[in-house]
Amino acid sequence: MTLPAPEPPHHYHRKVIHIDMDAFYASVEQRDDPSLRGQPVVVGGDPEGRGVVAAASYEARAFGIHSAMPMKTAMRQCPRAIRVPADFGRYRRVSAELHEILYQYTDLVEPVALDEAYLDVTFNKLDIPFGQRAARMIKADIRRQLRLTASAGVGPNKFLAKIASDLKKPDGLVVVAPGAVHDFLRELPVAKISGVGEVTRLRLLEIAVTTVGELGQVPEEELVRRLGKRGARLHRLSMGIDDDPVTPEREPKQLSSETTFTTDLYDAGEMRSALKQLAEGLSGRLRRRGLSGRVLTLKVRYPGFETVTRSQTRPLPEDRGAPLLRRACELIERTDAGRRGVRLLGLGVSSFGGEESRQLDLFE
Amino acid sequence: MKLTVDRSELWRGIDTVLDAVASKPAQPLLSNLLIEAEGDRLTLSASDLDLSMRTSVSAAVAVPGRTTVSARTLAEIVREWPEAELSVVIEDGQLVLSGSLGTGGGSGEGRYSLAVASPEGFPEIPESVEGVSIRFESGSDLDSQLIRTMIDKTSFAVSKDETRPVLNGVLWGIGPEGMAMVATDGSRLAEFRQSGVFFEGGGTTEVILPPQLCSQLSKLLEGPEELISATLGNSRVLFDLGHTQILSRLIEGPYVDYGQVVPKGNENKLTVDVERLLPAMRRVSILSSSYTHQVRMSLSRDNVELTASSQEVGGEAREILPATYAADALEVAYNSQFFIDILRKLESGEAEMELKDTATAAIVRPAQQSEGQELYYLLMPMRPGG
Repeated sequence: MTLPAPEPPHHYHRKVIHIDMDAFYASVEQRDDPSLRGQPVVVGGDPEGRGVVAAASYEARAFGIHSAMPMKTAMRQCPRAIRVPADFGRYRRVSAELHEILYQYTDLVEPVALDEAYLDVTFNKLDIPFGQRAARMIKADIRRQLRLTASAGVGPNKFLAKIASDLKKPDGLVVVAPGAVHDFLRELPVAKISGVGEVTRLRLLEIAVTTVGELGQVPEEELVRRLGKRGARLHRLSMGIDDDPVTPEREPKQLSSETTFTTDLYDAGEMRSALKQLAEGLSGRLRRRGLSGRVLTLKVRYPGFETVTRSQTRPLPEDRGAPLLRRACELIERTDAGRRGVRLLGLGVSSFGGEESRQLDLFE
Repeated sequence: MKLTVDRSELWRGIDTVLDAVASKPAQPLLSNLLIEAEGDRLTLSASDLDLSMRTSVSAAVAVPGRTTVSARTLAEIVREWPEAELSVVIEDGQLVLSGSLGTGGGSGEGRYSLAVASPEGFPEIPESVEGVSIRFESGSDLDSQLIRTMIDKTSFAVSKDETRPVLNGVLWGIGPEGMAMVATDGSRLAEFRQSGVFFEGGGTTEVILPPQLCSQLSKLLEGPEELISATLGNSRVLFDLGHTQILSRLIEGPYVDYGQVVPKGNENKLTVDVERLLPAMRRVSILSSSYTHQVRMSLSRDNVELTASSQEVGGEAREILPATYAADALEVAYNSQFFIDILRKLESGEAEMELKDTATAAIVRPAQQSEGQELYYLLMPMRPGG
């Protein structure tokens, strides 16, 4: 079927919640330092430099300060604003606590940023029948456990849930029931659609479109002609259709890296130095992701595209370049490399531990 | 009170009990020393309520008496005073310390007067407590050195985690077969068992000794004093060293059932020279993470390979040592600091290790042990990760 379906291709309406923490960084600062409460607080860089506002408390927003504004401008608009340098380590910890709360409802959690996540609660761990009730419980958990407030939007898809969460900030809860989608969208300004910036807004204004309802009246072909491929997406969104699933964060199952040689290699020293580069590159990528794996796989391609792999499993996961290289050299001994030319070499690490290094306890 | 005392004697007495003075006293009186003069002895006592110490030094007492005075002030004065005979007198409600500033003529004179506080309410060490008593005899199987060795080999493994209070002390068990001390923080465990020591009465009991007590006892036993007796009561323990007594509160038990965590069936046996393994472990740990101190030990036929890598420093270390090992290849990660602590206690000679897999404690013991002595350590691996 090539035509867009009039309804999402589900036998049921999904229940998607978008959780958006209110003025997250600034709220964490106010929570942890009572002297900041009730004050205009801006989190971010130095006004002397080119720092920008990473977050502004609602008290600061009253002065027209918003995130991404140059800090210099912000301090000019509200000289008595208190500037706090961003402490992302702490925000990450609070964010991890937020995720813990969300995972109690479902494993279908898609973090978007430290302060923002989608959940699909259609089938949830607590068998809560209504998205609205789940959202209310989550908000209460966040308030009680994190002493912070969040705004929530509930809808049949991510697009509607996100718009809904933004409507009654702070501490809001807006539900878009499947039957009320069209009413909900009719008067909504097009700029509320994520991805519709100033340029698109003006383009749409040229054809007298200012609301999502008006956007829905424009034939899809015309939107595509004016906006390109995005036009088709906007057309679907204007009717409240968004099939994008809530995708939980997943680690890759294997990290690998390979290199093809312009002329086939026969020399052991050359192969070793190619493996060394691969091992070191792989080690760096593993470490950046905090991964380390127990299985090392070597891939060798001979002239004529015949490809063989050899792997070795060790009891402990590895992320270090030198041991990976040593093992790769052991593995290449088990191939015909050298006796036959080598067109490509690859190394892959898999079977990740996935957990942080930890001292084990006799009594646990 | 009126007496004369050699400065060195007085200092030795103060220094003995000073560690028992509370650093943050629950009551002001506990920042003082109790001073008692009677017969030919000057007795000094200090207490932080958990640990109390008393010692006496020889003095020429003209008028007996007792008072208390600021421990820190008295200690600083006496420590700085040159060798001389000091006079200690209570005059007009003050403790007056005076004497020449050195031996021989022309050294000058010093005189210090210090405020005193009534000794009323100062916690006193009783002459005896209820409980199982052990008598020690110098030069026998059951002497001060045994206690000192047992503390030294075990107490380093005591837990500092206050959420498991029983592990914050050294278990001391005595019974008809002998005695044992055990300490563990969950990551490692130390047990020293001595059989064939017999004591009068033959009671059986178990107490948990606070680490402050163990360190004071060790310190005292380094000196000339010898243990005469120990009495293990329900809530406190009293050690008598002749001129010095230590009374300590005990940590409330019961202790963990540590016997059940000693692994059985560790069949991968390794024998390695401590004088090789310890320095190698020290060097390789230089490139371990300063947070986890993780070093990996890979065992293959008659080989021990140690590796570590540090993202902070940006480097890797690898050493290969000869050893006796005939079992299957095995690779296990450990906290190198814990490993080093244990190897240091093995001193020289060979270490025997029994391992099983990446998640089971290794048993480490010296290859040579004296008769009746059984010392072993358990070391839990680290679960390695990213």
